[in-house]
Amino acid sequence: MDEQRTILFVDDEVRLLRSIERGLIDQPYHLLFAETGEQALRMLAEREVHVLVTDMRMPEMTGLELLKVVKERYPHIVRIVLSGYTQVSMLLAAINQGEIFRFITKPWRMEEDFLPAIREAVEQYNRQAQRGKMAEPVGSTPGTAPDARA
Amino acid sequence: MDSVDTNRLRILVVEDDIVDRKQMERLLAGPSASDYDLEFAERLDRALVILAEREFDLALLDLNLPDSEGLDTLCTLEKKHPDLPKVVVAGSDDEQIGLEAVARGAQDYLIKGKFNARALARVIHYSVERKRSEQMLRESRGKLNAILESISDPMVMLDRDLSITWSNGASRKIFGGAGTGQKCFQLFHRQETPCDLGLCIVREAFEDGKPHSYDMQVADAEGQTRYFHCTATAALRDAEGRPTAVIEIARDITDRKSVEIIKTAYARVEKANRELKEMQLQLVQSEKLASIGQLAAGVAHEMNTPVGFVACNFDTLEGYVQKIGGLLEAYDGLVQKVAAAGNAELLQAVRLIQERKTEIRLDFILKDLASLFEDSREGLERVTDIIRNLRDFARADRTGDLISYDINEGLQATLTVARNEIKYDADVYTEFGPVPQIICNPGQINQVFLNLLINAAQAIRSRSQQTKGSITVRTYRTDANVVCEIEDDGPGISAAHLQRIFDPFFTTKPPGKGTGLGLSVSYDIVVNKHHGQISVESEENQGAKFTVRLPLTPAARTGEGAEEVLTGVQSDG
Repeated sequence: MDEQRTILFVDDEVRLLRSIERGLIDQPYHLLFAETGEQALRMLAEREVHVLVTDMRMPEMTGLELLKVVKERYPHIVRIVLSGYTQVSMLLAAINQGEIFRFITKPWRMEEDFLPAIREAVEQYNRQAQRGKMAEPVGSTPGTAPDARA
Repeated sequence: MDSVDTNRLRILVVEDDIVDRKQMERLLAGPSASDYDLEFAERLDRALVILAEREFDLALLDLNLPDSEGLDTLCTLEKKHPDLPKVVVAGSDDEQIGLEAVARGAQDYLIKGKFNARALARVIHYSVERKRSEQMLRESRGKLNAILESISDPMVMLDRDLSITWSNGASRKIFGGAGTGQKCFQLFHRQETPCDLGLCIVREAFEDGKPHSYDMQVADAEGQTRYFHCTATAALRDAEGRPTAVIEIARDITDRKSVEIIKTAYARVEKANRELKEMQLQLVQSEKLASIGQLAAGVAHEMNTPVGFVACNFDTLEGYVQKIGGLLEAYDGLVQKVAAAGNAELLQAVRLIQERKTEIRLDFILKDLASLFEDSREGLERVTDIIRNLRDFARADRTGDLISYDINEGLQATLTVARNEIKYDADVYTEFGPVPQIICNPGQINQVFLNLLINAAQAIRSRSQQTKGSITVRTYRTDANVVCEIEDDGPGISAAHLQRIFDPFFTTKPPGKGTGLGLSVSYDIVVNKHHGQISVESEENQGAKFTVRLPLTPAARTGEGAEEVLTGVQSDG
């Protein structure tokens, strides 16, 4: 069994974060939650995260901005978008600028869409890790707190 | 004229030679002297005086008189009294002049000294009779001519060369020309060669001897456009019955034609008006769709997140409840054991639990939980579907990749996808015609086909009949479009529903079975995104036929160029 992977969810709707937490309670993942992009970046600076799942439309820092920063600073983190907005321009930006791994639409189907996407993202990370060719990410100090949700 | 019928003919003998006069008198006085009243004149001027005073049935005229010589004598008399029968008495040495006299109006001639009483009587009688016939002929011809001239329809008579051999006044007045000598095509059509019609009605009439007619448009002598209904009828025939002359009668139908022209113009205006109204309706429809699209997008996006976490929580809740249920069973087992143990204090506690269980009807709750979750899950799924549809609807604003595409291939692919939905309800028949590729968004177009196919299958299913229905998918091209028809033999659509069928949220399906967006999305894709047309023909119980027309050449459309880079990315999970 692989070591437990950490997934960070970013959404300005706290109820949504809670529903995800409940939904994944039985899954073998370590879960982190952030309500803003800034908070997410702070958490990333403190702990090691393997998969990032973010909304697109958020006040202040948008999902796209967050994705661009993460791609630059923590390129090994597998990035997923969870959003209700599916305009082509937004999709294009997420794919081309955020280099996302999956795009999950809201409302999602846990069994059909959501869990498979998370699982594949973790597998993707594991494959990358196994190749051992990842550059040691800058400032990716592994954190110790099991749950840093604010 | 009436004098012929009397017994006695009044004869004026114009003769200057006394011997000849006596001879004539003698011959006429013969055995039937009572037949004639005779009068004599020696000179032409005298004869004219007598003729002016009294009426005669015949003149016996010697050409050489003291005051007039030769044929002049006859001509003078003929001029003054054209109706008087004349017999010329020519000199014995000049038979030629007798023939000339007949040519100039005399009814007959006699050669002096070469006739007897009987011959004279016969000549007199025949001449009177001949003159009478000539007069009758002239009168009837005059009458006939007057009739023909008074007819206001132009008439011409034509021979086999299409030469005009006769025409009436109306023809000359309307078409000009001398009346005869011209060819009909010169007169009517102002051209120098026969009409290039294969057989014209005149030639047809010559061919089969039957009347033929057609309507022609010509410019009259004043250059005004006029319409005539022309009829050609064989007028004269040879011994074998073949026409030798054809009468063509042209009836002026300019007034009637004008009414027709006005009617046609009116019909055209009406059609244009109808088309304008349709276009207006389509515009209103487009407007409605645009605003609905914006609203739908907004609503969908507002609902995405709450519906997302409600649905997610719901799954979790069900898991929780199952866990609690299991725990409850374990507790129940404990309660049984405690009850069996018989400790009074514990028994009291057990009874309280049992009472509480009865009070809240726990058995029912536990039994009901499954269907409670099932119903609620169904509701959530419906809401999720609606939001997804709304999002698709809103996304129809966005033009994706435009590529050259064969709709036959698209239909085939869509049929494969839809087969599972259709196969129990209908057999699908395809009649794919050769169609050129068109520039379109294949994903959107296939979505339209899918909507129409699924709708057809659902319509057939709604009949609740044992037998399978049929869906016919037909493609063909017209001058400007590639056309796809999807026809079903389902229950059809009522007239009231037909009007609203492309309206957003309009549905006839039972609650939960349709969002009412499928056809309006299709409409938006075809009409607004591809500048095509979508229409429906249906009557109740007569099935329905949806027709999608996509232009062969794409009209100018707006769209972010960058979006066209995105190929094959599906945003839906």
